[in-house]
Amino acid sequence: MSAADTLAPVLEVRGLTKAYGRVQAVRGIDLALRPGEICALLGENGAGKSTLIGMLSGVVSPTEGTMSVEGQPVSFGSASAAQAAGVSTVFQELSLARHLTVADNLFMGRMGPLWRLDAPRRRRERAREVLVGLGWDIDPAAPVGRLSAADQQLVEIARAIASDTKVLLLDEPTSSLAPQEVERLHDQMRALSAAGLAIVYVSHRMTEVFDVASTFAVLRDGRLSLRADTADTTPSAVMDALLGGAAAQTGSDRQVLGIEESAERPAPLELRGVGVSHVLHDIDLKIRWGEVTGLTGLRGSGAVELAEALFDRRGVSGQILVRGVDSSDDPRELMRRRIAYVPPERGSGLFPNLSLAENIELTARVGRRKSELTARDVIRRLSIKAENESVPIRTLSGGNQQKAMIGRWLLLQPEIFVLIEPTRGVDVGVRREIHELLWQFADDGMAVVVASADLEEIADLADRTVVLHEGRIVADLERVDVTTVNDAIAKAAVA
Amino acid sequence: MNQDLASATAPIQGAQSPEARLGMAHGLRRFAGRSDVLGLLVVYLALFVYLSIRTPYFLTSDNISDLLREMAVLGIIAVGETLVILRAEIDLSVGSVLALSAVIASQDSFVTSTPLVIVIALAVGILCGLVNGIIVASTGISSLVVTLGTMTVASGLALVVTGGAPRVFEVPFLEKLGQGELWGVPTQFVVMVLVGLVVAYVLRMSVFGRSLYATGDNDRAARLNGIRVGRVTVSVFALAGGLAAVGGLLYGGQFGSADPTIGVNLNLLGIAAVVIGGTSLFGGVGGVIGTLLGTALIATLQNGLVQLNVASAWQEVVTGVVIVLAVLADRLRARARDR
Repeated sequence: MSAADTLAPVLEVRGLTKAYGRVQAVRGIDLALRPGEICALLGENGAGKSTLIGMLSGVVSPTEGTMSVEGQPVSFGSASAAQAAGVSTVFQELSLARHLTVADNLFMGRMGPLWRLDAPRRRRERAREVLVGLGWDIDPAAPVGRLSAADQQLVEIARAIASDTKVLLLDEPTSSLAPQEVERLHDQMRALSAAGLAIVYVSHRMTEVFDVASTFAVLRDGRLSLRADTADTTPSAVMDALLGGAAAQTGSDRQVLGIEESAERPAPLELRGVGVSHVLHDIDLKIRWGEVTGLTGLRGSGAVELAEALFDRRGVSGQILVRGVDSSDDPRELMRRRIAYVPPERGSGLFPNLSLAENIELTARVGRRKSELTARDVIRRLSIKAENESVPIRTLSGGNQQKAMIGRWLLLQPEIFVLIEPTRGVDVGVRREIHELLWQFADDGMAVVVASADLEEIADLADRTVVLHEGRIVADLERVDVTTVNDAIAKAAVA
Repeated sequence: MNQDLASATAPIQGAQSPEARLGMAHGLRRFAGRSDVLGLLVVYLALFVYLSIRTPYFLTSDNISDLLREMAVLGIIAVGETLVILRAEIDLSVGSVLALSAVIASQDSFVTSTPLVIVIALAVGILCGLVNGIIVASTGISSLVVTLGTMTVASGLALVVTGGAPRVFEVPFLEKLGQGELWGVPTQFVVMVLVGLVVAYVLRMSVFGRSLYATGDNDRAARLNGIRVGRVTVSVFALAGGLAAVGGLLYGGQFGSADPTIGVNLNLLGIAAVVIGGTSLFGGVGGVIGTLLGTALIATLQNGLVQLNVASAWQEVVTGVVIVLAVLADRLRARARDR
C-alpha cells in the first residue's frame, strides 16, 4: 500500500466499454487514478490502449461506462471539453505548429475570440512566466521547429498543463527522444507528480516505464490484465500480462536446410556495425539461406526499423551487404538482385483501383523481367480469392490483398524475401497460409526475413529468432516459443 | 497550479543565462525571418537601378506615378490572396470576383449613390468569398477545385450582366481615388499601402492573425487546441472577396469603366505576387509586406519591359519565368526551414 492509496481518486472510470460495430475494443475497464500517481499504461497493438486513451482524452466517446473527475460525473464531447474538466492530453504525434513561436504554440486556441488583439510581446512575456514557473529554459520567441525533440515535447506538456489540469495523459512522449532527453523528461514528470498531478504514461519501452512509473495498468484484449504498484511487480510479470503467458505455442517441426554460404553464394544479407541514431546501435548480423529469420522485440525496439534500414539508407550508418555487395536503396537495383520487399502498410504497395492481375504483374513489368509465371499462376498458387483477376484490388479482403502483395514478387523469382509485419490485420486462416508459403520459400533455398513486433507470430513462424531491445540485439535463438522470447526481452529490460 | 509547479520543478542545470541567449537568438532569428523580404528588396532595387540606367523614360516622375497607379489594384487583391495562402488554401477566383463586383456596382440604378455603389460592390465580393469559404470549410474539397468553379461562375455572371461589353462606371468619389493624388502620390497607391498596413497589423497583433498562421501551419494541431478552424477558413475567403471588391472599385475609378474580362489576368497575377513576396504555398509562413514588394516587382517588371520595347508576348514569358522562379524559391526555402 503506498501513500497515494489514501487519497481520493482524481479520475475514476467504471465499466468503460467501446465497441466498433461488433468488435469490442475496450471491455468494461475500471480504473482509478490518484493525485501524484504516474501510471504506466501498456498494451500491445490492438489491446485497446489507444481507444482507452481516446476515451479518457475526449476524442472517442465510450459505448458504455461512467467517468468522474474528483467525484463529479463527466462526459467529454471533445478534447477541449476534457481539458476544461482538468484532463489534458499530449497526443502521440506532436501537435505543434512548427513555424510559429513557442509562445504562439503555448497559447494556441486560448487567446479568446478571433477579433481580439493580443500583442506578440505580451504573449511572449506570459509564455516566459509559464516556462520559468515550470523551471524550463526554453526561449518563448523561438520557432518551435528549431527546438530539440525533447523541448518540443516539453512545450506540448506546458501547453497541456497551462490550464487547471489535474490529469495529464502522455501518449508515447518518448518515441522521438534520445536517452538523455528521456531522462530529462522523466525528471520533469516526477516534479509534476510531486506537485499533485496524476500522469498516465503510455510507452513501449519497459526500462523507461520501470524507471518513472509508480503504478502499472496493462491492457490485453481490451481488458485490464494487470493493475499494480511498481514495487509489487516485476518486468516479467508485466510481460506476461502484456502478452498472455498462456499464449506460448510452438510452431511446426520444420527441418531447416542448413545451406552453408560459400564464395559463389555469399550470405544473402550481412550487417556490420549498422546504426540509426536513437533507434539502432551497432548491429552485426548475418542472415542465412534456406531459413526464415524473425526480427522481433517490443514496438520501438528497433526490429522493424532494422528491416526498413535494409531498403532505406537515409540516416543509416555502417555497412549492409547484399550477397557480399553493398546494398542500394534504388528499388530497381534491388529487383535486379532478386530481393523482394513487402512494406508494412499495404497502402504503400498497392494500387487500389488497378485490377488484381495488374497489381501482381506491375512489379515484374517495372523490373523488365520476362517471367514464365503469370498473374493467374500466382492467384492459383496462393489461392487468392477474387471473383476474377480483373476486379479492382480494393474490392478484395485484406488477407487476399496481402497475398497479392507477396505473390507479385514471385514473377521476379526472388531469392531474398524481406517482409515487415506480413500478417497484420489478416485473419488466422490467411495468416497460416502466408506462414506456410514463407516456409516453402525457405525450403526452396530462399532467405526469408520477417520483422514483426508480434512475438506470437515470430515464435510460430521463424526458424531463427533475433530479439532486439532498445536498438540492440539481445538474443539470437533457434526455433523458440513466446515465453523464451519474453524472457529474453524481460532480461534485457532489467539489465 | 503554476505556483505549485514552480516550487516543485528544479531549474535545469548548465543553462546559459536566459537573457544573454535570448538577445542573440532573437537578433539572429529576426534577421533570418526577414531575410526573404530583404532578398526580395535587393532584387527589386537591382531591377529598379537597371531600368533607370537602361531607359531614359523609366525614372521620370510621370512614369513612376503611372507605375504606382498600375500596381494598386493588383496589390490589394494580392493582400487578400495572402490571407488565403497563409491558410494553406488558394483562391483562383479573386480576379473574377473583382470584375463581377465592379460590373454589378456599375448598374444604372446604383451609380447615383456613392455609398450604395461601395456597399453593393463589397457585398458581392464578400458574398462570393463566403461561398468559397463555406464550401471549402464544410466539405473539405480542395480550394483549388472549388475556386476554379467559382472563378468560372463569376466570370460568366460578369459577362451575363454586361452582355460582354465593358460598362461605363463613373462615380466622382471613385474617380478621385483612381485618378487623384494625395501628397503628390496617386491616391489608389496610398489606399493600397493603407490596406496593406492594416492587414499586416491585424495579422501580427490579433488573435485572428495568430490563429490563421497556426491553422495554416498545422491545421490538425490548431483543431486539437480549440481553434475554430472553419471560421478562420471562411474569414480569409470572405476577406479576400471583400478586398477583390475594393480592387474592383479602384479599377472603376481609374478607368471609368467596369470590364467583365479584366479578372482572367488578375487571378493568376495576384497569386504570383504573393508567392514572389515569400509567402509559402504550404501555409503558415509569410506576410503582407512581402506581397506588396512582390506586387511592386511584377508591376515594375511589366512597366520596364514596355520601356525596353519588349514585345507584349515576350513580357508574358518573362513574367511567367519570374513566377516559376519564385515557386522554386518557395520550395527551396521550405526545405531549408524543415531541415
